[in-house]
Amino acid sequence: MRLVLVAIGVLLLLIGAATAADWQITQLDNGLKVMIMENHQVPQVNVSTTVKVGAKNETDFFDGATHLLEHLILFRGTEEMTGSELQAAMKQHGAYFNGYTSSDWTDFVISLPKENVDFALKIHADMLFHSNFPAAEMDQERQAICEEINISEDNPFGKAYRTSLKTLYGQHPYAKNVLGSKENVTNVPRDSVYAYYKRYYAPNNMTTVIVGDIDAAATLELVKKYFGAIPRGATPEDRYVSPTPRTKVDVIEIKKDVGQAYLMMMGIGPKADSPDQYALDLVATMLGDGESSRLFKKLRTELGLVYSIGNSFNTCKYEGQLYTFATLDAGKIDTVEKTVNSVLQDIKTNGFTETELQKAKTKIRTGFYTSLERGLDRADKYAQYDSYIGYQFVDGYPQKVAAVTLADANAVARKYLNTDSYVKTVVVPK
Amino acid sequence: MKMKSLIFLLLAAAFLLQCKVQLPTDPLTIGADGYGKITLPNGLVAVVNQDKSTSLSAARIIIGGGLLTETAQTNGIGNLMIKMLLKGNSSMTANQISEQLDNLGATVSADCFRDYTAISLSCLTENFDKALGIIATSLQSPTFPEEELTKLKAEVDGQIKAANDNQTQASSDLYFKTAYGDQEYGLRMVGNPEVVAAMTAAEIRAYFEKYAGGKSMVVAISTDLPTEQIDQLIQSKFGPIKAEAAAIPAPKLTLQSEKTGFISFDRNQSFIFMGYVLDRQDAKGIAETNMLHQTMGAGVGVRLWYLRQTEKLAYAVYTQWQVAKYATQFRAAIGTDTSKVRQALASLEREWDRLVKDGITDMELANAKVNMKNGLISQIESKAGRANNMANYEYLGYGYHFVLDQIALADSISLAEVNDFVKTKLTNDRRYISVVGKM
Repeated sequence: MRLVLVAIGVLLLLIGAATAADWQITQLDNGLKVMIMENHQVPQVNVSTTVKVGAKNETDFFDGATHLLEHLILFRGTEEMTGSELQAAMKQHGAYFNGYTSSDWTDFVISLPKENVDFALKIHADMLFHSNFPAAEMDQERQAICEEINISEDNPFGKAYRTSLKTLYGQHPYAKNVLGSKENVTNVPRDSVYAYYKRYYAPNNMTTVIVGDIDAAATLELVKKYFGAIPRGATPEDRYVSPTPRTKVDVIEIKKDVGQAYLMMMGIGPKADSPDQYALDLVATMLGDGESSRLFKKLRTELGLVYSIGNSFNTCKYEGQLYTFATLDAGKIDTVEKTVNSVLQDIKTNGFTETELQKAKTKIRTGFYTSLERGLDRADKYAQYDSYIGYQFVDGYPQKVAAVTLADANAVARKYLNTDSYVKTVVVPK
Repeated sequence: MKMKSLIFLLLAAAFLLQCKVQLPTDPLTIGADGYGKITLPNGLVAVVNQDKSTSLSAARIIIGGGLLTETAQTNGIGNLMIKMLLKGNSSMTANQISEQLDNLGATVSADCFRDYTAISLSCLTENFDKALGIIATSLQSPTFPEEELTKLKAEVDGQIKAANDNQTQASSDLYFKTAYGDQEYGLRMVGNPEVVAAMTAAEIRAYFEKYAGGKSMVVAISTDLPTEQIDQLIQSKFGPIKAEAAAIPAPKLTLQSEKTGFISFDRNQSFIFMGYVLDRQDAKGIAETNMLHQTMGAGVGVRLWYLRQTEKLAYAVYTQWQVAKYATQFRAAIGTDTSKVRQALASLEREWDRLVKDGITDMELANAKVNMKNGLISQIESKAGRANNMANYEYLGYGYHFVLDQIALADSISLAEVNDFVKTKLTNDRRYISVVGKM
């Protein structure tokens, strides 16, 4: 077994009390990337494995299959144990475990008392590589996912978000709903899903991150024991299609049993590896994070047009989304849209101020360190980002944000804030 | 000359006496476990956790009252009051406060709960003193400007509408309304829209002056600052707050005879709560409730999981437990297709009945203990989580160390004790149901 052992001192630069935290980074012969960090704050161990497969990899035939597969791996058993036995074993070892599917990746986490680290890695490997999901069990899980689709359809902002994605991205893989359609989730054959699983769930297509009250060297030996013999697989390609350039405003109205209107205005942003990424996070913060942000001040505080308003940029492997969201009375939708656009236009023309930029930097820096405070969150964040942009993205993020100048931010604002080509989705009372 | 000296001595004595009154009996000390507690002369209790692992700090400031000080005619005043504290003080306007807090990268929230209202703060330690200072100034000298109240009412109106649109929240509110009716714990924490619309700034100020004082307040801080600096920060920010606060009498809560509440909603799913409304429990009773939660509905592989895994009724089914000053809740939650509501209700009833009839097993108890301890550790892993838990349990009378005490207590509880709790506490007259959606 060829081991490339790299110990990297990652200075987390926690202001006032710098904490040096060491990652031990290893790539097994079979291609599995392993990152281990000792963190002795609480007597727990947290494991997160991200697989480089998401809804973006699905053809229409496999619509929703990535998410269905995540459920089957979590709940429906392996070659060694049934779903019920697996769940009982988790309970017996005090384990919290879960999974998440996005357009870019699928993520599995387990968090439990530190003395159960052996169990955690053994069962984690068993689930990732030896899941079995018999047809009868799979049929039961299909129904649970149909209920999850019901939940997401009932959520007004969730509905507006997914509807916007579909129109915004067209043939681009991010147009796909991660949950898939009820019809496809109900009918996609078990053997096809199993073949999909075997294609993507290979160690060379994964990153495993372990953070906890552990001995890093001993933990690495356990990883080698449980993951090392899994054979390398193929390296599947993404199904990437460039987004069609937008030239107009698309308007979608959805009527639901709601008491207020929900508005979303969405445009396309840069890829994760774009240098614009950092400045756009600052732009989104200056626009819509906090009561002193541009949109909040204008539309909520000054004009009282909305109940709430915000702006966000979603970082993705490929082109992410920049969107404004608001809750309001249905009668004010057009006025709010015009006012949002006037705020954006003013920024494109006159730019932000240095004070706004510094404020946004502090906000982002605080949020970044807070997001790494819990061991499970830290493991999860590194595993997810490593799957599509590299863990270095997380390490370098605060410095990259700090280096953005006002000129950079204003240039990025001019480039991505769009007042004449976006998707506007509203959910309004019936 | 002698007279002057005497006057001087008397003045000096009076001054020293005054100084003595303003100083706490003992300075803050932090134990080997990183925790400490201090009571200021104005009665305010500050509980502290010192943790040097990160340069983050968090605080939670509780003002006693919440729904316990509201009636159906004033429902929403606590929510408005706590939010108005951030809308102007003697040295800053609302805009200046939000601008400054944003400048400091502070995450701040202000909300009403059953037993109190609370402001939570988290930020980098380098900005903690300033951010806490802004909040403390608001606690000492809020201005309650009319024009800000008008804006806030619109915001709260949106908050109420959003809560109504959320089936889980709407069903949860309905559950408490079903159990307690218009009594304190049956009211909505966001308030009643008509009451909120009619509320005046003068009424909110009067409410603040009546209930906000050192005697009714608990402050919890989790930070990496040195002990002396924490001590100084507590004294300077919270020492000047007035002591007086109206006592909050224990409510006379009577459970309602109608056990099921229903609101019609045209959605794909209906959301159900079914569970038990208990009186205040002691530490052991809370640990037992948590163990039952771990057995019935915490995570995967628990008893209620059968409704999802085998009966195909839901995406998620779980239990929740909540501690208030005069009550403890333990309930199951399920979102299910509107065509399956009857079946879901029958399945929940079946599982509750089975629990009451047979109790839990040895193995379930062993599993519950390990999961309970791990879950509690996760609750206090972050500084914000620690500050919130410390403040909450200190105010509710269980002590700021309660989460750690629960972890220590877990192993001493026997199967017979848990099953006795089931038999004596989970009685049918305390079982309530709420359904939002279609029946």
